[in-house]
Amino acid sequence: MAIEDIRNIVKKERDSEEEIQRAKEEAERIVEEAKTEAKKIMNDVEDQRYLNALLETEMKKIEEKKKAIEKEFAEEFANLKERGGNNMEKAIAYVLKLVLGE
Amino acid sequence: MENLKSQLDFIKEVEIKEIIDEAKTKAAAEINEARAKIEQIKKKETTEILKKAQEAEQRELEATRIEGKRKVTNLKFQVIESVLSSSLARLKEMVEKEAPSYRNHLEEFIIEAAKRIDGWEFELIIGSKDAAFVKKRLKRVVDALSTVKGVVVSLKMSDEPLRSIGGVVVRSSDHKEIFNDTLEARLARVRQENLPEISQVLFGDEIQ
Repeated sequence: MAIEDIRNIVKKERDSEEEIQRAKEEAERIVEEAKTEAKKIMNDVEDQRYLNALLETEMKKIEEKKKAIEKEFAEEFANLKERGGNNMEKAIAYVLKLVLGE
Repeated sequence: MENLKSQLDFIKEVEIKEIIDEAKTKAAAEINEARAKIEQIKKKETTEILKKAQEAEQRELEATRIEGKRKVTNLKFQVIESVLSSSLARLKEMVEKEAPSYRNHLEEFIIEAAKRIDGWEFELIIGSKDAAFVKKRLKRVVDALSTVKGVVVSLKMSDEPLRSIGGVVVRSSDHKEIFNDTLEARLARVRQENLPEISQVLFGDEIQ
């Protein structure tokens, strides 16, 4: 092997080492980028928005159920008021009967 | 010589590929781990929110039902109170007008009251308007009471004024026993004992 050939091989070897070093740097960059992306995922506000929306939806459902119950009782209240008014005389007559022992 | 160079190139390419592939795998793992973690957190928080919402629902709906029932029950009591006070006003009117529908019951009131008192000597406290009416029927009352008691009874009319709109108060002659059979007392007993029936007449159901 001629001296020149040996020189060429050494140069090639040095070039390779530089390329590998660059590849290592590139690899580091890829990993760093992934870490940043992972952090971004962990802090994603979208998820918090989803949870807030879920909570809001559930609260709305409860409010609707509450309103339905209130409506039901309001109807019962109105019916009883009307029925009570209509039967007032009947009830007074019944009480008088009881008081007088009839 | 050329062969050696291309071998060196090949080794270098392989090494670079390995470095980059390893970095890509690591990167993918980082991202996947983050995604898995956030999914887990999201799942946990979702479960917590749903659990809290369920608890809030039970609490809120129960409170709404209790409030509704309270309003309904209050209404029933208000109407019943109105019936009772109107009844008392009607009774007062009956006494003032000396209505037979009231007076015809006085004898029964006296007998019922005296039945609850031990002994055979009684005093009768009665309103001034009813006194003359009862006096005329006193012998009949004494006879009926004697039959009920199984002994000849004595019934005197007291001069003491009756502090009531009507009805009677009967007491033993030694004043140790007394039975209040005034209209107010009778109404109070009706209130105490017959609320469910009154509610039934008014609303078609009993007070719950």
